[in-house]
Order: sequence, then C-alpha cells, then structure tokens
Amino acid sequence: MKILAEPIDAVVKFKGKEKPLPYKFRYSDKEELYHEVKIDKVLMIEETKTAGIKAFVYLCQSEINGTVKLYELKYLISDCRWELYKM
Amino acid sequence: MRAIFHIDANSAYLSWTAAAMLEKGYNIDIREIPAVIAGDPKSRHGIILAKSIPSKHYGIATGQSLFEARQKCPDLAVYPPDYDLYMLCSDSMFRILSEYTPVIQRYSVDECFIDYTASQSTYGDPLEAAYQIKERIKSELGFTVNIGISCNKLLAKMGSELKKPDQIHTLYPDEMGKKMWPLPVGELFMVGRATTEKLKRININTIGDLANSDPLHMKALLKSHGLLIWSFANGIDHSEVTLNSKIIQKGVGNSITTSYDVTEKEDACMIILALCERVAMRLRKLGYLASLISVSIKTGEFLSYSHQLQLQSPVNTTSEIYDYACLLFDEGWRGEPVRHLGVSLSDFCLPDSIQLSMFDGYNIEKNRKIDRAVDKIRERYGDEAIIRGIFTNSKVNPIQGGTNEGDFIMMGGYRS
Repeated sequence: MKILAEPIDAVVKFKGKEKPLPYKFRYSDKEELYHEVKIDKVLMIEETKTAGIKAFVYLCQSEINGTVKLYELKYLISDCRWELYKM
Repeated sequence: MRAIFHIDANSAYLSWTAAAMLEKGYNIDIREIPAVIAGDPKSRHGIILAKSIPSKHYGIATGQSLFEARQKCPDLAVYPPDYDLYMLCSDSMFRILSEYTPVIQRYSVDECFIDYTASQSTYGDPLEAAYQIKERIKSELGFTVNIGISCNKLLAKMGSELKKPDQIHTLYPDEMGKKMWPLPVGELFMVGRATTEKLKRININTIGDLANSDPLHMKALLKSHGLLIWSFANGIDHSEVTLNSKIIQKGVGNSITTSYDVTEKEDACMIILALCERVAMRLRKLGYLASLISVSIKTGEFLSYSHQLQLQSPVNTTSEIYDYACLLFDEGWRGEPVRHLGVSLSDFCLPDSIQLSMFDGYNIEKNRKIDRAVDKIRERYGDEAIIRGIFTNSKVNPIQGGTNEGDFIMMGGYRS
C-alpha cells in the first residue's frame, strides 16, 4: 500500500462511546470523477499520534471493480476530517 | 543518588516537519538530505532555524542566513516553519514523559529535564527506562531524541549533547574525565563565544583545562560567571528539576525584525505600540507590575543598543508602558534605519504593595479598567478582536512579537 493522504467525503456511523465507524466514502480521481466505495469490513482500528497529530487509522476491505482490496482510512481528530490514507 | 534525564529532540523543527510530511505521503525523508527549516527571506526572517545532519557536512549552521547556506549547498531543500505543528509535537513528547514522572521541567520547546529518582521503584533501572522512552517517542511520534542521564541537570544536559542522533548517554561524575573533559570549552553549557575567546587567551581550550584551573583565577577573570562555569566544568550543579509553574518569571519582553528598514519616528512608535500591547498583556496575565522598562534597537548595519529606565512607581497599563517606551526610543535612537525593535519589562512587584505617586496622571484608574476590559475581550474572542484605532488601514500588525499567537513556550516559556 502507498500513502496517498487524499481528503475524502465520508458517511460515518457514530455509536455511543465507540469510535466513529466509516460506512461509505467517495474520492475523486485525476479527471475529477467521483468514485463511491462502500466499506465491507473494518479489520483494525489503530490510534496514532505521529508528529503529535492525533488520528484513528482504519484498515478496511472493500470490493472495488470486482476485486477485493485492502486500504486504510484515516480520521484526523483535531481537524475532524477523513482521508484515504493508504491504498 | 538522583537520576536526572535530559531529553532533547534531534534537530527538532526539521525532524518534526519531516515526520509530518512523511505522514502526509511525501516520499523523501528530509532528515536524510541536505535540508533546512528557515524563515521567509522576503520578510527578512531568512535565517536557518534547524538543519538536517547531511546539511551539517556542508558547513551549514543554525543561525546562518539562508543566502549563505545556499552558497554552501546550492541544492539545499528549504522548508518553512510550522509552529502549530511544533507545539503539537512538543506537547505529545511532554505527555509521554509525564507517564514516567510528574517532576518535569520543560526547558524549551524541544528539551525537557525529568527527575526519575522516585520513579525507579516503579519503572526500574534509569537506563532501561530511558531506552523505553526513546523507543516510544520514535515509534509513536515519529521522531528521535537524545537522552542524557546523570545525577544532576548540568551533566544530564551535557550527556545528551554528546553524540547524535537517537542516542542515550550516561555522564556520571566518574565518567566526566573520559567523556566531557576532552571536549572544547565552547561546548560547555553557559560558555558562549565571548567567554571562549577570553579563556583561549589564557590557554584554556578544553573543558578539562577549565575544570583543572584555579577557581579564584576564574573568579578574578570572569567574576561570578567564572566560578559558575568552573563548577559546571567539574560537574557541580545543585539545581533542582523545577516544575515550570513554580519558576518565578523575572522579566517579559518581545521583539520584532521589521520587513523593511524603519526610518520614520512615527512608524517606529507604531511598532513599539504593537509590541507594548503584547508585552503589557503578558505582564498583566502574570499579575505583576513592572518598574524597569527597556527598549532595544538593532540598526540596518546590525549594530545593537538598548536604553532603559527605572520607574519610581511600577506600571502595568499598555498606555503608560508605551509612553515610557517611546520616551526611551526618542532618547536612545541615533536616527539610523532600524531593522529590529524590542521592548522588555522587569523588576516586577505585586499590585498590592505599590507606592502611589502624587504625580500619577489622573486617568490611571481609567486606563486600568480599559486594559482589563480589552484583555477579557481578547481572551474570549482572540487577539485581533479589538485593536487600537491607529492601526486601521496601516501596514503595521496591531499586536507584535512572539510566534504561535503569543504562545511563548517556543522560547522557553510555559503554558498556564
């Protein structure tokens, strides 16, 4: 997986005291076309604080164009924003 | 025996920028190429704030001008500082350290002293704990630190300076002869350029030479500072690791390098007013009044001088401080173009013990009330929420001095 750190639009579930759980997201490609991806499975959630920047990193799995892909989403806590972190 | 650690982030600004850039997907680690963090040369802040280790091999040093550095290494990569990021990094380093002991002195944005003595029973051997701290900072925060371990602050600090980066050094008194004494005397804490010159003249070249000299001789040559550095060379330092909240501040000051050479008195006074706004606000936040005001000037030719005034009755209102600062500027300024201005206050006293003067202006109480109101507004809605009318439509920023919106931990202050 390569670090992309691309900002994305996300639909997220907030449930009680649990960490926010992404449901689906969309990202735009080089031609500025939107692609929507539904998250099939969240395999792991890790809290990171590299360079003091607090974030949750989600290892996710989805079927994209017929193939199952692993990728990481990142929620930047202080900025309240989502990134497609690695793919 | 006490166990004191000195934790020092390796080329702090640069490695913090590097860690944040890697996290954002940048494919080069700027710690591994000739790179520097420097201010913007256009606003005349173009000096090197931090350098990577490869750029050191080109002879680039912190404090040099960017122009000079580019001549030494034309391919130098230059990145701007990000003070918000540095605060985050510094805070998170502090948070990790506070898991090991509550006795932490935040010496500057990238340096901390911790007293580990009482934590030994819980976290074990100092050396093992230091390795754990170092590795945790590296894996969790993405940057490396040097840790010096000893029985006092001075030796711990000297220890952390030994070999960089990502190293742990012990420097106990019995190791001084081997590890510290062979170093050039300029490496010793509190020995600067001027002192090094003076010591060289009497053939003191290494820390060992200084340690073995006669303390009376040192005192005769350099007064009390001579005795201090002689004690340091011998590893003697009895100071405690003091919590920053317990350190009594003795002065506040702010200064600014202007983006152009100031030649008009009116312009200079406006900059002084903007500096006074900041300085006076800090003074009032500390709850003190000051009776010594000093104005410093650096000319376009890099000649520095300052002028100070001892007041009969202490002050804390912005207007009064500004009046005195202008007076000092008027008296001190020799008419040359000015590139740097500073205002500082000291000789503090508490507001309950001041002597009222018969000659105080009639509106002092009024000014105090205004300042109180302005401080409250700024605290709640931000510094720019209320500014003086004189700054409308002017090029001068209404409140000057300090980085990170007046968070002075950058320069060794602390967060209240």
